[in-house]
Amino acid sequence: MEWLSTFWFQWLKIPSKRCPVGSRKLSELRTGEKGVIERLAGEGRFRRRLMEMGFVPGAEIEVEKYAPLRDPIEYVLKGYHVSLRHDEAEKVLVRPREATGEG
Amino acid sequence: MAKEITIAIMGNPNSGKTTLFNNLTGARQKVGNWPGVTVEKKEGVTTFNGYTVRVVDLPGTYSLTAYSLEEVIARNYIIKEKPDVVVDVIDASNLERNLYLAAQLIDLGVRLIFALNMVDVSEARGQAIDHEKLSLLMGVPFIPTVGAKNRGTRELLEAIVRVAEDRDSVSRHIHINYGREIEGETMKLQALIYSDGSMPDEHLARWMGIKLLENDEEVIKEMEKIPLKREVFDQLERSTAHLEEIFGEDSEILVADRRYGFIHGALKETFQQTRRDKYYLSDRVDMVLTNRLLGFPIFIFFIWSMFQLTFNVGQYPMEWIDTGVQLLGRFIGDLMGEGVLKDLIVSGVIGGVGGVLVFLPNIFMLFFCIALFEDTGYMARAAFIMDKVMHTLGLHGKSFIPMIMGFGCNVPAIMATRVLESRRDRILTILINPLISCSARLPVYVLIAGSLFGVYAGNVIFSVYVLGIALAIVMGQVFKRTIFRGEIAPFVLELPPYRMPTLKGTVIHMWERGSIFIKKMGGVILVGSILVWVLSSFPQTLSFSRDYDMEKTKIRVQYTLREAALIQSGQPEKAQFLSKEMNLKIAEIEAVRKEEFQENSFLGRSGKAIAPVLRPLGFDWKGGVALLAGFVAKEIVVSTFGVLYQIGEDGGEEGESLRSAIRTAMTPLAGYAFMVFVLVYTPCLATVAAIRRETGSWGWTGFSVAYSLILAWILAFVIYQGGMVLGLG
Repeated sequence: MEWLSTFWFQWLKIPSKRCPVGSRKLSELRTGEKGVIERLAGEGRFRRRLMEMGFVPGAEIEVEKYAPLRDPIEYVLKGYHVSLRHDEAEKVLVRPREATGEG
Repeated sequence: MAKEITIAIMGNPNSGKTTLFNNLTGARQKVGNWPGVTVEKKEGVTTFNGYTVRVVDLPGTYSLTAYSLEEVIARNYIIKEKPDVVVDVIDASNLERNLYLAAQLIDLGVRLIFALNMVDVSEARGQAIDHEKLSLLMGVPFIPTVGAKNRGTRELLEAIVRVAEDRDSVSRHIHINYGREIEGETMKLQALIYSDGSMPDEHLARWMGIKLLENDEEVIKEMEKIPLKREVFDQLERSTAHLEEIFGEDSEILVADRRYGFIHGALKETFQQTRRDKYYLSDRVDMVLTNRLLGFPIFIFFIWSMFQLTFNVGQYPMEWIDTGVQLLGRFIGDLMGEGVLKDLIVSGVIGGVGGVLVFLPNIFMLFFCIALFEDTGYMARAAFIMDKVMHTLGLHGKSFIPMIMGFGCNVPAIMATRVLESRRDRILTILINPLISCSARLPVYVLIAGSLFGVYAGNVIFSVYVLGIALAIVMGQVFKRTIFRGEIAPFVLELPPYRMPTLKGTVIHMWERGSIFIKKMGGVILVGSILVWVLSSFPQTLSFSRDYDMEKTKIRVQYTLREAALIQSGQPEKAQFLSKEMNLKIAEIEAVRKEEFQENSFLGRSGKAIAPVLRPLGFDWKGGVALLAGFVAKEIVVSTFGVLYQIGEDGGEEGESLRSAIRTAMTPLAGYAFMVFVLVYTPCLATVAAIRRETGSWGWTGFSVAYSLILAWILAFVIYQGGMVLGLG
């Protein structure tokens, strides 16, 4: 399936080195799963805001819990708790740390 | 001694900045707004070692970008007002992220102190911070403090004086190294900006160079003003292209990344996590409070308690104030002779200001609860739980509090929008808040529905409330898609650990906001109530269609003669009966006189003038007058009807006669249209004043008044005319 994702990345004009296969959207992680932030998508303002809150490439992030209505989602990052809406977490690409609970 | 130091306090939200500010200044604080904006500005003064220390509390921010109004204010204050020392409050238990702002302050090259706050929490979590080594590494003294226990305040003041006198041993300016490539580009930009000559010092030029690489809108605007702007922007383009080519990333991401790299490096040598607990107490509390099943019931319970406290417990002092105001009015009324001046003071001034004063207990109670929610950290959880619901209305999770408060009174509700950080969210919430039916509108519904709908009155009133909520949702969507399109601020909400609030801190918090209400709104409402009083009491020299005084005298003479005759003939009981009858007749004439007076006062004339506009809605001119008077406060609609239908203002036991009067004046359909109009049209004067105050703009205030009037008219028109077509009239 690798050729397919490579195709999509090229079609979307995303350089493939920024989107290595195997990275997932932060919104796809389940409660308790961990990941390492790889890249932030989205527009400038949003990205800058996330960066100043500690969402920088290489930072480890863990899913703490989902809100009672499944949105927003609470994360632990750099030792503190922060929540993002689902459509915001979609714009954060992570490399999952533990493959538990997948699928 | 006249030596003065000005210090500015910075820090992340939830870093304990406010507590530290309170510790430094005590109760000697001045709360105001930053010029032209509704961001709170707090200032306090303290004396230490012969110095007068002026403390300015800057808005809490995560960063020094131009991302939000708060950040721009904080930044401009530091750059333009040049305080002697900047104290950055750092939450020791959340060190890494808090140091991000600290690193940006280091770049600015100002005299700095880092207050390492909440060191007790950090220790309890098994964290060891070598603050002395950190001070050396960053060239800024770190002073450990515990704000909640007032520890380290003295040491902080000592450090402030030392740094201000430039004799602190660790203070030095360091360059945060952003790596060879970024440094190279920064240096090129710095040299260019500095050579322009308009930049006073090199540090600032370097900072601006970094900010340009970070794509900072404010600094870009600033650069457009300087003579060398072409060169600067050309260089910037080359630099960003160069960095992008090497790293494959935007320069702004690179700078943020390196800044965290610098922090990471510094912490590697100075920070140790000696043990790692799986769960902190705060997390356990949170497991209950935001639990999937319990979260909502607990949340609803808290809101219900807040509502009860605000509007039921607040009821008692409210009644005392009301009684006090009435007593004062009567007392002054007795002192003064009959006349216009007495009327003005008693009805206009005391009545008007009293009408505002009665809100005070409510407002203080509400702000106490909100301060408690904020100081404990629950507010962020409430937003977390409710965000999904509120987001569908185009609002932020935190908008829930103002919306629910609206059922009590829109004035504190609109003031409660201060909990919202983004101006867009704030204004949107303010605009739709008056659609939530406040308690002052209830008497109007009770009167109209009670008169016209009999046993169905309850259901009819309920439907009006539901309509209000539905309209709030619809208008929220409409505004979101029109006026506020494409302005959505990221949600990104920090969930700080739960903390024990201090009574002092919470009371100060409450007092700050409550006192703003007294100071700023009292004036507007005073002027407004006097205006309405004038409109309803003038012209005084009215030529009545009948000579009421003459009629009254006639009746009095007539009855007195008959009474005298009865007493002479030995029938005193009948005489008593007659005297009662006389009083009734006189009261009747007085009521008719009042009605004619009202009808011909400026207010009555205005009511008649707008009658043609209201006729398609099924209202007569009396309805028009009642609606005009209701602009001051919606419950006045009821008492105005009382006057207009000759019932006398204190309806009370005569309520039934007012009801029958309404029954003859309105069809149920027109009554329903009237209730909907009352629900939607222009919020009361106090609310308008609150809107003006919280938006800081007459434009938005005018818009709010105008849109609600137009919406009310359209809805009432559709209901009345539609109902007529369907044959419901």
